[in-house]
Amino acid sequence: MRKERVSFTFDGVTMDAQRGQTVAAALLAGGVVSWRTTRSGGRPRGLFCGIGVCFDCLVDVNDDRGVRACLIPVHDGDRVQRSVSLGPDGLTAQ
Amino acid sequence: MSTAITADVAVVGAGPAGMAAALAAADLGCRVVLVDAGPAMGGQIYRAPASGGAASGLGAASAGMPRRLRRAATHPGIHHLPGTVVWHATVPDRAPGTSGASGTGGEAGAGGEAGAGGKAGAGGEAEAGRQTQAGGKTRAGEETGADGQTEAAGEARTREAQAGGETPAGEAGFVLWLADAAGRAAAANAGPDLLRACAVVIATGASEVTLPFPGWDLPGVTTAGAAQALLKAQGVVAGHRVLVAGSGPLLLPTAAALTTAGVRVRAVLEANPAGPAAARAALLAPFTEKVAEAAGYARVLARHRVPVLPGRAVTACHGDGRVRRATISRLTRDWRPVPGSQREVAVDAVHASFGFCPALELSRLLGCADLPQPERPAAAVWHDEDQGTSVPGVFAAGETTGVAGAEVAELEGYIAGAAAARSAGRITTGPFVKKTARVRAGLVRARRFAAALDGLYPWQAGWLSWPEPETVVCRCEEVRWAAIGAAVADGARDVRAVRGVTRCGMGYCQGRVCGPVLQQAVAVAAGRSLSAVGDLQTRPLLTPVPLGEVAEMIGPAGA
Repeated sequence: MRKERVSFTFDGVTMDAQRGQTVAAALLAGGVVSWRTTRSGGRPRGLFCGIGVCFDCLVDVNDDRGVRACLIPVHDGDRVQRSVSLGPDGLTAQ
Repeated sequence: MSTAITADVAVVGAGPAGMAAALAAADLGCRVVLVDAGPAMGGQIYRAPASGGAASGLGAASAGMPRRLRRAATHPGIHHLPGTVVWHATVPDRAPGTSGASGTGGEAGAGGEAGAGGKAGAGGEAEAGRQTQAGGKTRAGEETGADGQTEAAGEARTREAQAGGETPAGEAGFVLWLADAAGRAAAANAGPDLLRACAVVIATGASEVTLPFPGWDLPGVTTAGAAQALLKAQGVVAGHRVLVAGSGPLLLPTAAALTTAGVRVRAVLEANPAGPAAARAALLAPFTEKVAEAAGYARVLARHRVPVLPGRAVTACHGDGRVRRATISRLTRDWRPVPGSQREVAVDAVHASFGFCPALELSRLLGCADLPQPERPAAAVWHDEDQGTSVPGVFAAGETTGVAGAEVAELEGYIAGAAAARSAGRITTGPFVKKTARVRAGLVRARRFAAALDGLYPWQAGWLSWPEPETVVCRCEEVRWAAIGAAVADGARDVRAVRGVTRCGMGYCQGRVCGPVLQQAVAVAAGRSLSAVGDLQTRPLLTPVPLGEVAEMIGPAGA
């Protein structure tokens, strides 16, 4: 029987989520509403369309940069970080 | 490396339309491959909970999904590819010198019944390959690099031959290029990366329209669809004190679901006025089951004292780092804020939705003609009474043909699936007519309801006065509202010109969010019709795919 909760870190802070939840759902459930800033205006962004269309919710997970948090399930041990990338698998801004 | 899979009928999208199409075709003996971005069947409306859905193909409690559709999860003729998107597609090249995308109109029969006895698949494919290599005869081929495409297709053919799989009845001349839901070529998750089919059903649905207002890009402001998806699939809410705002039949169920989940919905704001209640009732009264459904939502909201306010909208959101307050305005009939009517309420989330826009990416890539919608942004896919598009072998069902809800989608899906089976050579016209007769009767009624409902929620241009000059319109490229008007004033006369000048629609989402907004803004500013200024839905790649993934998939050109 697999356990129902998984553990991950967000910017180094340990959080937990229900198995199968997306990264976005896990972050929102943990009270995090924003996990990216825009590259030009530095404006905070989080979940918007929720179904993979808008790319507002880009986040870095382990070695993958700029993945859509609303689509990617969170796994036990994932390192989730505020996105500093310019896009999916794109160049890093810093 | 390519791995290919072959089907009689490829169905793209596993919402009600796609599931129904897959069932109809599979029931007629077709080998169906059903491609869908989600982890489980059901689409946006019958969305499954995240835990437990993937194993069965259906969610453990994909709430509300009719039993007749649930059959799709276990049907032996349906091969479901979850978590998979189509990022490119090509049509068969049927004759030398003919553009596959647009010039096959006279060959409808060849892709249909006659296809079964026509030329062998291998010969036809080799011919197509030569054409592509020689001159890039298909428009799509030119855009992606013909050599690599031919190479990949050739390798796929070899593998298919080695696998010795079941041979489809017709020529599997359509090629759909697959990636996983994150946009990575399917090699990353061991799935097939090419799908070849005799016929294609487009059931890709629609995307939600959200109109811009100051602060709409603050965290905590989401689409109503996002709130629904979060709640249904993830069991999570984005806020605990919220407004549900916009226009259309999605607002009430969203608000009712949130309320039931314990969220304090401060109000539901419908931009359109209530209208004469009697006229409204007379219009919808014949559809008792729909009226009962709406009444159910209204009862939930009334029980929790959630006000449903017509003629009002959220016209601004405020907060530092996230939404904290929202401005509610009373609206005129054409959605202009009534001066002095503004009031602010404290919220931690706003869920906005202004209806839906048919998703045309795949239909346009395959060369299917549009059906213009004069009153709405974008267009729908043109189709005949058998859901056939202007391209032989390609069928469309559901919201792509015009937003009309789940019931119409499902009924269109059955017809499209049966028509695709006929096109693939699995059924002849006599049985096809008989098979679809009852569905057509239901479809007439369902479309009548959809049209009546649609008439209650017109899209009005008064929202153009909601954004301020500094309001971000294009969320990706952070293009400001003022830049759009300035571009038109400088002579840009259509959305493509404005995009080129401002970068509006050139970011991550490729105009999927701002496209409908830009279309109406440009139309009004330029004094032209919506269809005259165009839209942003034509894309050589249907979904963003890292170039590295593509390169890895097709290998060195000419190798």
